[in-house]
Amino acid sequence: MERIRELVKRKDVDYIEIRSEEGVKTDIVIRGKTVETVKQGRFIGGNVRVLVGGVWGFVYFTNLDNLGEKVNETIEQAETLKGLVKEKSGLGFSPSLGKFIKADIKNDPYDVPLSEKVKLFNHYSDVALSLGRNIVSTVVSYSDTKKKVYFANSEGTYIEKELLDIGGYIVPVASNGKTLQRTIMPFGSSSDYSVTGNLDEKIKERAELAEKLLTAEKMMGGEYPVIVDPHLGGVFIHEAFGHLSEADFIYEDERMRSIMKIGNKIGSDILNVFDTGDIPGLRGALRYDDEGVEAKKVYLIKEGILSGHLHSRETAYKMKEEPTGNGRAINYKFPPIPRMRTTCIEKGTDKFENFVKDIKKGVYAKGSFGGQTNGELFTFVSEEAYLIENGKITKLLKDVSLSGNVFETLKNIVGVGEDFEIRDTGGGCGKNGQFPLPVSHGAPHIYIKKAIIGGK
Amino acid sequence: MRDKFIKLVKARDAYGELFLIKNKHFSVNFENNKFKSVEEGETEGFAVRVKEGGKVGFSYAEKNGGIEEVVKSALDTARFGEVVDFNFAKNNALPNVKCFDEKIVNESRDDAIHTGEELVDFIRSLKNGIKAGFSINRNVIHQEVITTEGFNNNFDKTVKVISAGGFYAEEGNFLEVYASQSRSLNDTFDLETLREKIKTDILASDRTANISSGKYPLIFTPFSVNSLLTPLMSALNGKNVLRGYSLLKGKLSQEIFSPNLTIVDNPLLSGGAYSEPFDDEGMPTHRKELIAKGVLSNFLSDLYTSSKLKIASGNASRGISSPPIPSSSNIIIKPGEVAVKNMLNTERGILVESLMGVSMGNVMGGEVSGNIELGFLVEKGKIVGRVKNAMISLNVFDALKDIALSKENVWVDKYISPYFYIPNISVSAK
Repeated sequence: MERIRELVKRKDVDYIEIRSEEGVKTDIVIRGKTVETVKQGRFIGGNVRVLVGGVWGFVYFTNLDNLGEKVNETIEQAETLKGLVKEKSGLGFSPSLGKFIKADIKNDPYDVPLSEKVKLFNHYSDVALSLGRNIVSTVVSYSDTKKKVYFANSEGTYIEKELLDIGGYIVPVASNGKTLQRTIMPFGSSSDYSVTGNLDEKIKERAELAEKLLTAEKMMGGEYPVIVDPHLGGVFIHEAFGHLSEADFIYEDERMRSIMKIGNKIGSDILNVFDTGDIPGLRGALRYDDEGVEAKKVYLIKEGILSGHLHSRETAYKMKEEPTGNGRAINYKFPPIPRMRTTCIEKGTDKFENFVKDIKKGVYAKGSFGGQTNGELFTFVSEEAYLIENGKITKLLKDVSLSGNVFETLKNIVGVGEDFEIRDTGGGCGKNGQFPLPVSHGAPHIYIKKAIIGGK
Repeated sequence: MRDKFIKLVKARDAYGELFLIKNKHFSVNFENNKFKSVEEGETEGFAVRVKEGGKVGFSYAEKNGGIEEVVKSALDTARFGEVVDFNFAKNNALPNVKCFDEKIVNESRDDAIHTGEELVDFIRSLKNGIKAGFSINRNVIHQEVITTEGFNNNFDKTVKVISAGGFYAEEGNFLEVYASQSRSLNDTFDLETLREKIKTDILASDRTANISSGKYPLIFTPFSVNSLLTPLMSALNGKNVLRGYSLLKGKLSQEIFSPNLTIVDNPLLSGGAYSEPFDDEGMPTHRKELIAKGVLSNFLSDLYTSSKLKIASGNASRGISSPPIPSSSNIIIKPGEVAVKNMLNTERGILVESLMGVSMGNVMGGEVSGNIELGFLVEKGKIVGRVKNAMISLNVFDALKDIALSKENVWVDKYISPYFYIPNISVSAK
């Protein structure tokens, strides 16, 4: 794809970039005893994005034969829009560079025969099914994608990067005929197929829990103190604050700019939050984003004070801040927008036991089926939860979902644990139709003074 | 490519199905009160299913060409598949469905921008400081299915989606309102309803109403019915029935819900965004009553689940990169007899416009648990104000036993639905 370097040498535009990709993907889905899907596929595609007189043009395609024509088409599109756009766009500074980035692959799933993968996941389904009469089925999902992305822009940057993404989960499903319960054992990596190995014991644990949930009680709904484990803490910070920090939510809205101003007191003093691309092996690992910007570590909150935003080059330009390497696109069909990479609450100094001791009546919530936010309100569903009564963890609870107001909850964090864990999941992040983008998140145990629990 | 496909598969003494899609996409986008961008795209791809020795294999390519490689790859995966006893589609008679509109194909960019400007101005006029957004997405789709059993057909379809909304940020009080319509025929759009919904939501949100935890009657508007019915649609999916994830398994012909509830899947609906003459396996589409006066009468099904469950197929849906699964098309819920006005005339209830987080909950178990993203407290027919920081929690298999439905209905994207009134639901508030 060296030819794209030539095609972006244009003097008649402010900026032009071409991004193309090609790759292969394998998926396996097993439900109970049935291998439902084993599939292999390949994809190829590209896009041209131009800035002419402060106006963007964007065209994407699967046919890469006539790239020169596509370049002209995109420029023409932007030219005819000039009179219609009231405010000119621009790009934050990014040094030009030439990079060839090989994926840092420890164990390549493409070295493993498909038959072996199918055998392994069949085995995992059996492990769960063999556990008890109430395990009625499973959902086992495995997916890997290996792709090469080529990027060239008119500022002289050329990047070829190889990317690997592995993700999946094993869900045991329990039922007693009247109700259904499920748990989840997720895995993921950007470098190592061996994350899929040695899961038997963990799957057994999850299946046993799914059975126990059938007879667990539902919490009485209301506001309670909550302890969340590192996994759920990671989902929480991703949903509750990560999305809010994405600058396309902020940059053109004066009210949002004032609410999300750097220096604002946003959380309790013990809270530190960062987003980074530089933890290798994680699904959220990224050296350069889809605009060719280095994926730096950004502190979003330092000691409770808002200290950074997540930028694409366009939002950085408009907010007069530095691009952060968060301009990401899920594939060639989309232009890059600000997205998270690996988002974490930094570890603190508190002990988990002390959180429990402090609570008269509350909830300890672990693991997650995912979360959602609209900027201000967030909600997530825990996988496993326990009632805390008078400083002791007592009963298992079922169907626990937590919700709250982001700004209040960040200030209500009264304890940050001394432990810390990042656990990759098999899903991904969704925004503006771009789903599932590989991201990671992590946290220590977090003690929240109050959150709303939905219940009976 | 089509002939080559048949040849390649027959040479192996196998059966095969080729699914091809071409899509021309065009969108106009407004963000933060401003016209922002136009995006255009042209994509194509194809998928192959083969059946060799009774086992099914699958492969795909999101690109043009390379049929040999894809057929080979599909045959490779067939050895892992289970032995199935269905055949790919034969040359069946197809219904006549209106789902292609030249007006949508030919709509000019400037017309689309003009519609955007009008809607954005309208939304801005409703509240000082609100940021309006708008988009038109237009897809012109060409779909083909070819099988070794003799099906060889195609159709063109247009799908246009109009979305509009507003966002207002205030410390401790964000407001997001949103509405969209998707259709395959241009004349079936009803922008007045879309405007009215946005206006009502914005104006009603001016005041906040505090509530405490407790039981309330809930009124789901046609815009939130999608969330309410998420677990039900999952349980009506033949695939979930077959795999043991559906609590409706084994309950065909039983009265499971209120006799007020009748739900029909209708892929023949003129102008429906989910309308088409044949499904994604080449089977003729048809109207299917799923719930008839509270009685479970059918499941959504594709060829595979039909062969197992002994029910009619015609509900197969897929993208290029996935094998077909049963999926709903346009869902039509029969209206009831209560005027919305009377429904709201409750002592103290909550009108739910949008819920957040339902799809992550225990959907298989029937749980609808979510934060009221946008909802209002109503007292004796009057909207008191916006309800915030509250979660509802109900089980759809219990809740739908006792409901009332409104006379009025609204065509949102997938659903044409009345308002649902459900008494006595648990709401947790701070």
